[in-house]
Parts: sequence; C-alpha cells; structure tokens
Amino acid sequence: MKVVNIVQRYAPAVGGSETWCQEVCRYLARTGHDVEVITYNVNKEEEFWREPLDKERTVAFGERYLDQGVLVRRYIRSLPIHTIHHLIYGRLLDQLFKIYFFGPHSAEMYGKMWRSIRKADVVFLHTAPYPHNYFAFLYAKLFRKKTVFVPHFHPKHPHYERWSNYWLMKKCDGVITVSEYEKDYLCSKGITKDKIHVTGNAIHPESYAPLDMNAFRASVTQKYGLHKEQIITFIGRKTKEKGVSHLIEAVKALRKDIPVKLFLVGPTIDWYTDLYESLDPNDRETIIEMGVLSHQEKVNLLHMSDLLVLPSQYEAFGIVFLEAWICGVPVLGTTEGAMPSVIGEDGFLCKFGDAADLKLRLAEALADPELLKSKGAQGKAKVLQEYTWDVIGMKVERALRTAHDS
Amino acid sequence: MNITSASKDAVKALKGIVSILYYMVRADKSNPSISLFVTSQYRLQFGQISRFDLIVYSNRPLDCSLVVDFYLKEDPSHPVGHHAYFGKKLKTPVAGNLQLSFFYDWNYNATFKIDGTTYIPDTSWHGNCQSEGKYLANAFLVDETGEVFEQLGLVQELYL
Repeated sequence: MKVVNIVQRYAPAVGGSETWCQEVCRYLARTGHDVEVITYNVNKEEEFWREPLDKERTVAFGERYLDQGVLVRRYIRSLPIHTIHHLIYGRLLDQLFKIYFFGPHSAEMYGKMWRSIRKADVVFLHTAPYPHNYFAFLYAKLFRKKTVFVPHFHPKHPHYERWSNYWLMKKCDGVITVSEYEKDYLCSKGITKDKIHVTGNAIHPESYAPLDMNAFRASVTQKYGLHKEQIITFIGRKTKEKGVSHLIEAVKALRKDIPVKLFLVGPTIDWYTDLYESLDPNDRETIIEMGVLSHQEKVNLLHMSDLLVLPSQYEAFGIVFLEAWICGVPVLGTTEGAMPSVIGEDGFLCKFGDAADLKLRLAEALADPELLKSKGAQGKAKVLQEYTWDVIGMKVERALRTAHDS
Repeated sequence: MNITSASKDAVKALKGIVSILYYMVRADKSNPSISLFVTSQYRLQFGQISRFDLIVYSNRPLDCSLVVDFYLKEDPSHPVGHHAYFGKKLKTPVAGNLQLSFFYDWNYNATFKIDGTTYIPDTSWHGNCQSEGKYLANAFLVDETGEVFEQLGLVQELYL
C-alpha cells in the first residue's frame, strides 16, 4: 500500500504523537509499504506561530529526509494573517461555529499534499485538532481514497471537544485509539464501534537495560543516604494534574509507618518549586527532588525502585508505566483516564486527589514484596507481549488494510 | 483593526490561496536536500569547538558542495558582519542519506568528517568579524553551477 501520513511535526521533533507516528511509519516501511510523511519544518510547537523561528534555534529541518525507508517531506508553515486569524478563525469559526481552525497552516503543504494524496492508497491523518487533517480529508474524498484518523484524543480538552473533530472521525473509514478508554469515550460520542481499532503505545524494550548498575547504586546510596528504605519513584512533569502534592502528602504520612524514600524525576514548574521548598528538611531527606535525568539514569533508577507511582488526574496512555514494567517494577496509577485500562490487573490503582487513599494503597503494595515482584513480572510480560512497536505496527497495518478493503 | 491593515491582510490571504493553487500544479524538483542541520550547543566561547551534524538526502548521484557560512546575526553584511565560510565538495548518494559532521573552533580551524574520514575544507574565507554576540550559521547545498538546492540556518551565541 502507499500510505500518506499527515502529521504536525515529525521526529527528531519531540512529542508523544510525533514519536508514535515515526515508529508506526518505520514499521510500515520495514514491512514493504510505500510510506510518505507530510509535515511542517518546525522543531518546537511554539514555532508554529513564531516569526522568526526559534531565536535560539539549534535544529533545522530541510525539505526531504529518508527515515529508515520513510520519505519525509517538510513544508514551511505560513504565518498567521492578523485579520483572518482573529475575525475568520477566531470570531466566526471558533466562537460561532465551534471549529478549531487557528493553525498551523501552510500554503505549500496544502498545495503539495494534493499531489501526494492523489497517488495514495490510504491517507493516514494524525492528531486532532490540527486543520491540515481537514484539507487532507477533503483531497482524499475528491480522489476517492480511504482515510484513517488517529486523533490522540484528550477528552474534555476545549480544543478537542468540537463537533468538527467528531464529524471527521465519523467520516473517516477507520479510527485508531491508543487505549480502550479512548475507544469507549469516542463510542459514547457516536463514533461507530466497529471502525475503531485500539492499538496502544509502545517502547523499545532493548533500551531499558541497566548500565554500570553497581556504580550507580553506590552513588545514589551515598548521595541520598539510602539504608534499607523501599524506593518509590515518580517520573513525569511535576504539575498539580500529575498529583505530585498528593503523593508528597501520602509519603509524609507513610514514612511514619514504613521506611521509604520518594524520588521525584522530571521537569518542574514554579508551583512545584514553591511546594518543594515549603517542605521541612526532614521531609526533604525522604522526598528527593531529582530533576530531569538522562534516559540511562532514569532506567538505572527504575531498576533500583520498588514501585513507580503516577497519581495523575488524566493520562491518555501513560508510557511511563511501560518503562517501569519493562524494568520489572510494579506501578500504581489512578482510576482516571486510560490508566485502569492500561494497568488492569497488573498494578495498583488509587483515587485521584485523595492522599489518604494513596497512602493506603502504597502501604498495601509495599507491605507485600512478593506481590510487588509478581506485579512487576506480570507487567514486564505484558509489555513484551502487547506493547512493543512491532506489535503496535502490526495492529496499525491491520487497521489500514481493513479501511483500504472496506 | 483598521481598513488599511484589513485590506493588506485580505491581499495576503488571496496570495495564500494563489500559492496553494501554484503548489498544486507545480511538480516537485527532485533536488538533494539538507534533511537535518543540528548543533548541540547554543552558547559557547571563541576557541571552543562547535560540532554541527548534517544529513544530506538525495535520490540521484550529483556533484555538489556543502558550504557552512557564519554571519553576525545583527549585521549579516559582507565583509563587516561576515565571520567566515568553509566549503566541501560532495557526491550525493544514489538514493538515501549521507551523514556528515562539521567541526569549527571559531578561530578559523575547521574540518569536515564524512564516513569516519576527516577532511579539511576545499574552500574557505575568513574576515575580521569576531565580536561577541549571536551568529547565524547557515548551511548551503549548492551544485557545480552555484545553484542553491537548500539553505538552513541555526543560531549560536559566542562570548570572548
């Protein structure tokens, strides 16, 4: 099949849906399909709107790139036109008709995708609510091509909850979701169940082997005064929505009963900095701010951990659960978003925003080392069976074929 | 929002629509492309080695040159704001990517590295512009006649 992908950015630009698109495209190319990607030539999301491009630009993309058999065509995004942006996109489409059409836009992309789509068997649209999906859909319909849409949908997000996004999903020949939760949500909004394919997200298991573990363990033990505490690790952006404050509260209460250390890994925001600075020195000996770690440091820390905790308000999938599992570490999430469907019986769940419930679940989990070990092993087996890029790629290929043959 | 700016914007929108139609009918040139131009450092000192990594994509073998050119960002004029340029002749791959690196110490010592082999530049020029500030590092891919296939730019901040 000739598969033409339309996506807002493509790796090495960093982003969840961008990585998903790259890995799936590479799989399709590897399995003999003719795969083309049409995207913008920007690296950071802010560059969609900025002129000049990033003032501290250290990465620039050219027009064409061959990424492991995938032909990537990058086009220059057009700058917003003030009157059109505010009057047409803002007042008329956004406020009156509830259509998100702010952009990014590219005259070059909209023109050239016409030629690519004409030769395609399947047009694969990535990520709501970007307007380029509507142009690609329109061209696909004109040329009677099949369309598949992977919206990476964020329920209740104002840019996603638009009738136009649901309309597009209803009109496409196939819809791909990354979790059962996302599928159920879209079904509840009227998308036909039969055309929704759940694929999931994935990691590369071979990238999660520990390296120089003895030296790493010795350094962490010495630096943070580890004795025989059980290690709880949080990995993610330290925001309110990720439940960091509830986790800190729960661990402060828990450490009176069980010797534990909490390692907090990931980027911070001012809200978190204030929160962490308000902790007393004793708490900071137990609750340790690690900042952003390199991939290998993160992997090594996971291999040292007894439990990974992500008490978020919402996760579209939660790749960090896969990262913990592949290191044999059990996970604890919340009953919100996709977490119950991803974690299932292979981990622990608590209520979001309830530090007492979180403390209780932590205590239950940490009290039973055998249970922890078995949940970690179950998780690892699940990743190897369901969440590698080969498995996801196979599911995507099946969805594309189903749409193509429909 | 006044009538003048609205009418200017209407002209821009019209030009955008014309551009879409133009790109619809215009066939793509199959010229080689600088797929990626990247450096890991933004701020560095004169004398410190800057590494730039590049990927050149091509679907046919072609003799061309890669030129890396440095201008002062606030005054990109020749010769006052022109720091230096360095060029290397290349043969583009039949179909695929050519990976190369360019190393520069900001004191006019530069090398290209292609497939593990280090080369000195085939062409170079340097002026007297060596003041602190932001510099534009532009990579050009040009054919033998001087036609520019692609140009990409990065920004680096230099201090003494």
